[in-house]
Amino acid sequence: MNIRENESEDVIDLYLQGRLDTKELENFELRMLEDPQFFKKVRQVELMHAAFKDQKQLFDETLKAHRSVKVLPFTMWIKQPMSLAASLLVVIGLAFTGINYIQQVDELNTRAGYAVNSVINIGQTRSSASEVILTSGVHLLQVDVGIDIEQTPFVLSLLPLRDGDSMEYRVMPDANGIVRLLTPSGLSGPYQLKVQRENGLEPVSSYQIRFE
Amino acid sequence: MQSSYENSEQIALAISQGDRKAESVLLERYYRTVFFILRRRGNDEEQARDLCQETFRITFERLREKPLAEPSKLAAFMRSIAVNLCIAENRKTERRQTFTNSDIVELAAEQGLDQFTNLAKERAAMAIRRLLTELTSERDQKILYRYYIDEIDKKDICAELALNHRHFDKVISRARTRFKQLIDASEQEAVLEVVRGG
Repeated sequence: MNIRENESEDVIDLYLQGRLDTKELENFELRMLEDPQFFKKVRQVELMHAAFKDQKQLFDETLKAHRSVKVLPFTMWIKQPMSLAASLLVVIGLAFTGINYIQQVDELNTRAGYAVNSVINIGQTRSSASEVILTSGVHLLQVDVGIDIEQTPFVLSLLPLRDGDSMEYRVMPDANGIVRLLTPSGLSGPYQLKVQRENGLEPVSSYQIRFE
Repeated sequence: MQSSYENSEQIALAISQGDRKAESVLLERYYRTVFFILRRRGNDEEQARDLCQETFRITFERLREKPLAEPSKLAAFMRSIAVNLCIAENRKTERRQTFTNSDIVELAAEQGLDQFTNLAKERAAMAIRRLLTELTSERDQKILYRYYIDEIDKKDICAELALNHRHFDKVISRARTRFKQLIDASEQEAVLEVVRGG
């Protein structure tokens, strides 16, 4: 229903409620006589008004039912055992949903696929230089941390030695004891890659990487 | 009734020229509206019917006698007759004499009207009941109650329920739209039933 229609029905309401002044009433009655469609509309609105009045009792009962519903303040409501239990369930449900969502987001982020410039097995390069030199593209860095029966997670930190942001990733080694890190594109300059057990004091290993 | 008269001016001129068919067309086109206007002006059904018949009797006599100076204003002419009769009726203490012998009565423009009205009322009542079940907000129910049943002015309702006008308009507009949808749906259903039955 558009604004014009609403305005037209507002005037019809005013007519049916006897709120039009003499001149407005005259114009309104003339319009009804001259425009059969408008008259039809007036009849329909009159029917609606009459039907509302006929259903007064039903409205009274419905509103009475609303009033009889006791509304508890939140603090009182939460003190009830069932309310508390229900709230806990909701919180747990939301937490699970959140975890699932995060997993789905991770999946989504990689679903489209990434182009990887190279796969580097750090620590296995036999180059004389202690520094690994890479382009600024995306690289898959693999570090052999050894097979661990306890399956403890590792923290891989990529720390800029000059400018730039530090990055930290929590990863689980695979069955062969390899942890992997996909570097962000656009890095430049020297970085230190630190590999350490989560909550471990000393790094398991540390590598110098230069992005050019 | 299909008519060859395109507008009220042609009807008025045709009646002045003695065209009896034009009188029937006039009656068919305006009877319900004049009756409605008279009823809304506070007359009961019987009074409104009497005044309506009197309005048409005077209109026909006047048009047969001489054409209107402005035939295009036929509707305004009839309205002024109806309104004046209504005012006169309100002044009278005695009930108006009915024109049961008039040939206008024989035309019975509202044949079957009561049956139609009852059916329409039934459908409207069902639509309102449905509307109420769909409307779960107590505040919105109150808005409809105060507006349609108590006939309180919009401004006063907004003040009473601490509403802004937009919310009020939205609730009323939704109610109107839904009511129409429900009425249309029940009419279509009735048509389908006739088709199935026939």
